[in-house]
Amino acid sequence: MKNLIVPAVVLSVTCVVAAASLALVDTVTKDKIAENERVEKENAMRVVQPRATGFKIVVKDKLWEALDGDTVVGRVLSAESQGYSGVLSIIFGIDLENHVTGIKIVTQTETPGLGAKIIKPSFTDQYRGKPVDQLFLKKDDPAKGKIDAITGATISPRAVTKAVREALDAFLRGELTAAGAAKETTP
Amino acid sequence: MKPLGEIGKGLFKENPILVIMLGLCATLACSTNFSDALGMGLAFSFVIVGSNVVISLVRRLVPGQVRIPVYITVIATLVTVADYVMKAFVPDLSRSLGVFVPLIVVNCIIMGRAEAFASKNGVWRSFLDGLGMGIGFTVVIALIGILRGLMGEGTISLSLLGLKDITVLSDKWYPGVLIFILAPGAFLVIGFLIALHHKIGDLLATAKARKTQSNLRQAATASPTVSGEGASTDDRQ
Repeated sequence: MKNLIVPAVVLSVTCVVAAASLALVDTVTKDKIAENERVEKENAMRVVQPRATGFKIVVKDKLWEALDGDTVVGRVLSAESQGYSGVLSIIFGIDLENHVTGIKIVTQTETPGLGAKIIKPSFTDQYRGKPVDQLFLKKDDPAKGKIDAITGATISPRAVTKAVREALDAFLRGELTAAGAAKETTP
Repeated sequence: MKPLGEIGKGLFKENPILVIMLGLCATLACSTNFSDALGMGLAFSFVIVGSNVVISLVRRLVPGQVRIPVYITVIATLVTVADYVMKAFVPDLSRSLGVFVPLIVVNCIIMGRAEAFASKNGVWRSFLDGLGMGIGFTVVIALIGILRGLMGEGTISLSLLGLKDITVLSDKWYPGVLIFILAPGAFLVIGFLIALHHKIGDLLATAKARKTQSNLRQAATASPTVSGEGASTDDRQ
């Protein structure tokens, strides 16, 4: 009997202690982590919309207006797609002509050293100034595509390109904007 | 054993990657460049030191039947705590290491040391053992990272230290050997490092044997009675 009870008690106590310490650490760090994530998101928006000084939410977590003072200078959109080994979360900016102003990969879990190179500026800079119909990989669509893939990794760049293209497409068709903001693009 | 010896064995004689050869999965995945390798090494070192100490502390309280679940709980808790703390206070480092931290839980070197060492030894020795294993792991994985980065891309990545990558072999004339970025390349690099490790080990052993022999001979010519003592002193070094 003792052989059964002692291990069970020890294991339970271990788990209680582990759960308690995790709960404690979570309480201490929760607010700080949320704050860090907010700051990071805003910094990411600044990167893809360098001209903007402020951002206004149009559709929560999907679409923002980039403001320079009071004038709208562009928009920021978020996009998601399935990469090689997990979900890619991307935000990108567009100017008033709907050309991409910059993209940033917010989260990714691609293979380090291969697919993970999609976060490098040498890859993301390619998107700058491209309209929606050029957002294809060169190797997938040599006629229209203007984006180079990465040696040894095709799936990750393809996923990024597809995510940006489809999110931008949806925005241009007016699907994203609750208040029909797409129609005001060229006032 | 002396404290230095306890650390030193992780560095060479019982190096986690080159000799124990456990946890190679994490080694393969995170050694494509210097930055990632260094990050993995540091995160790993923190967790193995912590888990060795905690497990050594509770070693007399935990019944044999449930020791493995207890170890896993301890390791997983430590990893999660490390993850949260890094996210909250050093978000930049956490961003670089983010992917690797969960991988540490499944690194069997930590389980291996818990089972083979910390559960049988005191806190201080277990701490030193963890430290030695951590340093040994970090040094070797960083070396693999440098070699793979160099051969695969011609660069040494320093982004973890907040610096720009060093391009050693320009991509203008060095296209990079892709296989070194992929897992098979890691096996090749590790294989050659193991061979090198054996070679150094052999050379050291030969040098030691020669020294012992000459000591013996010297001692024998000087005074035959103390020859045994001379040899045993040498053995301990």
